[in-house]
Amino acid sequence: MSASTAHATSPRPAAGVQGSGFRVLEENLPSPQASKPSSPQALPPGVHLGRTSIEPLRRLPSQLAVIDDLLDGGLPRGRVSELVGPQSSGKTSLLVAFLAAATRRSEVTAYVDLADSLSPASFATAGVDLERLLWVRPSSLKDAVRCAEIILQAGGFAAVALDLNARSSQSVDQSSPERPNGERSRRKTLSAALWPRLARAAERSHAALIVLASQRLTGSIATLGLETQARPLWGFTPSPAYPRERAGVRVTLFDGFDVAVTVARSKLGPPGRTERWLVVGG
Amino acid sequence: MRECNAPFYQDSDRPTQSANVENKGDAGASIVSSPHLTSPGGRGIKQPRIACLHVPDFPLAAVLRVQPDLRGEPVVVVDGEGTRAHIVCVSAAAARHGVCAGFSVAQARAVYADLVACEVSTEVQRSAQAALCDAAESFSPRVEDAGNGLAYLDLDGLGSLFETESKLANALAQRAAQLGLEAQIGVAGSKVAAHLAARDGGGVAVIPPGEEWSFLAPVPIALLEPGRQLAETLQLWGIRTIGDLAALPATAVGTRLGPEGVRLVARARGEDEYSLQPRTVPLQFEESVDLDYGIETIEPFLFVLRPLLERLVARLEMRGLVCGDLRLSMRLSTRGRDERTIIVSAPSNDIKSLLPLIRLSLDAQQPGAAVESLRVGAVAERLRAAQLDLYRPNGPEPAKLALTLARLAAICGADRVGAPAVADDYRPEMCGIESFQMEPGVRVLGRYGVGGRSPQHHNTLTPNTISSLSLRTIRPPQAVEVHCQRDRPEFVRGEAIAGRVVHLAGPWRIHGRWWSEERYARDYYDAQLGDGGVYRVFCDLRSGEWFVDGVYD
Repeated sequence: MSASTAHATSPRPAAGVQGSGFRVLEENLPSPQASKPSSPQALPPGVHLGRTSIEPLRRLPSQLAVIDDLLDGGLPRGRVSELVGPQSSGKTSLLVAFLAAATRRSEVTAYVDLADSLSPASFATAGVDLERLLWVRPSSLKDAVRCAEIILQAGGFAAVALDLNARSSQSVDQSSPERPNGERSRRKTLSAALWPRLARAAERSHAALIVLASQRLTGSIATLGLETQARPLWGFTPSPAYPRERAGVRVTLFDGFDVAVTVARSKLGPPGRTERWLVVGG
Repeated sequence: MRECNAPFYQDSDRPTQSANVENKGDAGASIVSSPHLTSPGGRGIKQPRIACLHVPDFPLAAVLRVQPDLRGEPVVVVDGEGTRAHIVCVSAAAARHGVCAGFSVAQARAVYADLVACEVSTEVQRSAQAALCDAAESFSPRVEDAGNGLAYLDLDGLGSLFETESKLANALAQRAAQLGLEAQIGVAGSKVAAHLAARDGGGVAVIPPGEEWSFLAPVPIALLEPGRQLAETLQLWGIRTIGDLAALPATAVGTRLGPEGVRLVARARGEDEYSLQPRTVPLQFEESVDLDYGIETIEPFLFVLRPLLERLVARLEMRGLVCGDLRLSMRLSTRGRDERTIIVSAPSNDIKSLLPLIRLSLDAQQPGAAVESLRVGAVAERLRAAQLDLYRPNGPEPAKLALTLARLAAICGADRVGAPAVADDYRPEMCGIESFQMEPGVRVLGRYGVGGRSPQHHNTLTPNTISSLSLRTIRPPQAVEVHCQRDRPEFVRGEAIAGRVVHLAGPWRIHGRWWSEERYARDYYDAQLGDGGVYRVFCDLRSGEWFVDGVYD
């Protein structure tokens, strides 16, 4: 059956004979090519092709230019993001930067602290408005995940940080057979249905769920996975405005980290990009 | 509704009607006339208008308010225990079967076997009386609580809200019905007259000003509830109506019947013993219920609790108030009591948000025995209108946030949920956790805190390629073994730390609380170990032990 390229303004009823009726019907039907819009802009309002979302993905910026450029504006809201790195790699400082920026914008954030490692003084120095940060200190992994889900279901939070990092004292060689890796054992205890459920809760609440860990835990659920590596800085002066002197004597202090953050995985763009920035003590 | 037009006083011995005249009968009784009475045709002071809310068979009405499913059933209210138990009130259905007040339970069941007997409950009656006063106070704050299903309301100032007193009386009756009480309303120039009108009016009765006499004169004297001996005396004298009694000379009555007779005559004349005494507005509202059997599980308990909350909320809404903190008092089967306060961070009259808070409290701490009676009290609060801010992003809804915090507290513990606070202490591991407030002055969660807040430091580092260093605290500080060389740490070994010190900075000495047992003195170091981790290590100068209390990350 050949497709007719003409389209009729007033379709005529089919004739009695089937063959001629088909021909009439073909003439009245618009061509398949003609029915397709030439561009998405030609679609009627409210209609979109396939699963294309008409809402742009909102971002949670860190107000650090290098980081926001790397992430095309910040962490995606309503999605799961993962910050992974070994001990003293700067991942916590990066997380705090996001929380500080959000609270400075008067947004409400939450921190589910499984390791009970939050330092209020450190957070305050980093610029986090402590009054807009909900601190939850669960005692078990199961409680931590449950608390995160409850907070996401409540809605209204811009960011929910789920700190599943191993206890900071467990900084052993992960290849050691004598001491099992806490993160690996945690991953085994987390059910497969957990992360999709949290992802759905984050999507409904439009909150950025940020999982902090020393190893990847979320699998393929995370929309964005960042890995951090850091080089400690000793005796480093970031700028002439920040000299390190005490009583007129220049001393060597631990000044911070030179952190490299890499987009290890991303569903929003190509992975692999790396940026560096400085984390210094206040 | 009955109304009449004749003036009230027709006796030549009646007292002079002027403001605040005090008459003394022969027996020395002091009778204060109702103030501001106007003489017929004169320019007098404004006459007061009093409304009386009267709930007949109040013990029965209180029970039916709590158990509305018993309406229409043959119900009797029993007072006393064992062989002394007797019936104080009967419902209409029970009365039709021949059961009367004063019967014993056995006698009543002999007359009609399918009676529903309910015990007198002072808690239930108190709640019902409070509800009656709430209904009255929803119209005017000048309400006198006369007890036992009786309340008086000063109608002064309500003329602008209602066209006629009849409409006001009907509105009063409807308001009381909303709270589960069938009240009879009477409106007159005095409390006594209003009370008599309510009892005799058959629902709603309004006596126009100055017409109390013609309205009440034919009313039987039994409504004044005279004593038995006095009633017999009056019966012998042929005094059968209020009009007859009011027509008696006061002096002669005092001589023959004593002070009680003088008071009875005064009441017959519509004279109040004392003017309306408004009660103070209660700050706490309570509802209670006695259970027929002990409840041990949560689901049936919540089923019983829900109607209590609904009645409580109805009373609060009638007064324009919202439910704040809840106080639960439960009498247990072990004769003990379980009393607890449930913090309602976001005051609300929404039952759906109050019930989960109670449930979380019960889940966290169960009563431990079956609950036999329950009393719920609510702290009334004014609803505050929140001013929206166009430039502030939306946060969690207060009611939803309060429930979320309660759920989190039930999982983690109330002292482990809140906003972090910098402790007033030089020791880095010290911290505080305070109520999570989204706005200054708005209480969202109670009150766990250690230390106070110190001024926050904002990140002033620039340019925006530099961020602030964060520390992960180890709580409590972990003991480690440190090998020193020339008083400087060279090797650190702990439960999960082992490595040679690659870089070291310090020491910094802190010491404090020298005046107490918690005195401390420490030398702190920043140490980078061979694994790349940078730790904060300190030596306790008092004990010589080493600890690691943080990791820079």
